[in-house]
Amino acid sequence: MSTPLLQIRNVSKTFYDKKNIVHALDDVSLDIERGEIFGLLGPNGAGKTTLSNIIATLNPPTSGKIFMDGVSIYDDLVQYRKDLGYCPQHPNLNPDFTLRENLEFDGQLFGFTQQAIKDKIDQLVVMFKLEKYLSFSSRQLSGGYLRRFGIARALMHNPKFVILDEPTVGLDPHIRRQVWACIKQLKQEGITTILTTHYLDEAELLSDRICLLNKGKLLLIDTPKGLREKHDNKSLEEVFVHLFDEKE
Amino acid sequence: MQLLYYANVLSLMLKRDLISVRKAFKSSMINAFIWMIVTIGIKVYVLPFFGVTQTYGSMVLVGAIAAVANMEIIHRMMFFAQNMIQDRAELNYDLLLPIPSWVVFVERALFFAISGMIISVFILPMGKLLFWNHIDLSSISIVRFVPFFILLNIAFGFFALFLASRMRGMQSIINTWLRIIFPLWFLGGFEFSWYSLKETVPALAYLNLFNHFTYITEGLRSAVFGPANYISFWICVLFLIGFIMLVSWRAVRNLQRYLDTV
Repeated sequence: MSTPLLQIRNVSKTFYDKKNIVHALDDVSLDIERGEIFGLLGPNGAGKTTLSNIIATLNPPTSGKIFMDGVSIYDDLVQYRKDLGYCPQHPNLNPDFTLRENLEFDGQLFGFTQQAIKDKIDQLVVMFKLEKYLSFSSRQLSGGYLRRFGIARALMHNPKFVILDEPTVGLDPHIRRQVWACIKQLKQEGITTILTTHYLDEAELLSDRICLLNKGKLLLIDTPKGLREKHDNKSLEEVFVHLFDEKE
Repeated sequence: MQLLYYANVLSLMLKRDLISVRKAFKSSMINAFIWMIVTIGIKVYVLPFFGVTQTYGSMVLVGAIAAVANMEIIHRMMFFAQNMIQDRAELNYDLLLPIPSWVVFVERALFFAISGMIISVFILPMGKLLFWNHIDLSSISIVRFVPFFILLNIAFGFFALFLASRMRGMQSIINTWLRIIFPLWFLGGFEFSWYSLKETVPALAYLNLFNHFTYITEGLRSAVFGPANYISFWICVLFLIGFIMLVSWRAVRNLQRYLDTV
């Protein structure tokens, strides 16, 4: 059996402020396989964003380790970040640049040649149907296009895996479907995807496996089909409500 | 090799950030010139009627270089602080580039510094052109002035980063301006020399030796007018180098802790 792409071992995260100690993640261990869409699911405050931020290396864990291809990600942080694409919940495109310039600067910052940047932009705009919008500023685009460009930028430097943090939150239903199509496209390209969401339909439709988090603890990991079968073929929403009621 | 790689990414980030604000520079430059013309105009045309010497305008013009650089740098810092306090979207993008977080913070300080240089570099030549007979630059040492001009902007850049690292809310941005920056700037010799302060209020003069603005204005004037009436140029240089080392280290540590970065 091959080594999983990512191995998360006993990761905990505690936030301290003057009055409170918050255990945002408590001893979470899981594996993420190559090429899969791994859904991180849970109610608000479950620890989804905390875990995805730790995997993205935005924040360090309080304890625990993360391995990529069997090697600690902190052994070579520079290489790990080259292998990682991150698309945050709030679009972070520079509004002073056109979308083409945003993509070009990303390529430059990751050390690509001008030709490689041009080729990659050509590939991404076709992949996400964005040809017409390259000369637009992010101020001129609606939410759905911004998310698609956000995902495209996360892929600009050919990462091995991407983290999509709540990619469809606040979008109209038909625009959500456009973003879903982009996420399915990632799978076809063989890119491992960590999808943080609190939409059950989204997780069910897109994820190969779902990880349920609640109050910083890992409840279970299973395929959407496996989850339904274990709960008398109820819908994922019913399974979700049942599991969280049980824990309350 | 690793440091060269970091330097390359840092230079690309600087290029990106400077291009990003290029349109704002034009506006900042107009603001700076209006401020300089009004401030120096009063000093050279109005104040002599109240007994102030004609050379006073020259002294204040040199102080105005530091004032304009500081204003621009604090202005840029406030955008950074605002982004840091609010959603951090742009900052998080940089923090996920293949470089350690300290490189991101150093880049931001250097961006502040270069912004300050761009806006303040024309103050002295423009002041001379506009107030020709009232401004005496006959003793200027370009060899001292140019490196000191770069050094003072770097000092301001890292000091701005340090201030940003202490900000926790929008109100603290306003408080920082009125409670810290303004007193330091105004007491730091914008309109007077350290020796003149020592003659009149010695206690304040000695207290002002802990104020980096003092060394910035004194060092500039020493480079432009000669060392006779100002703190030694080399003492100012040494102080600023030590100051940059101290505040840069502290600012990076504060930001790493506050933003909880890797």
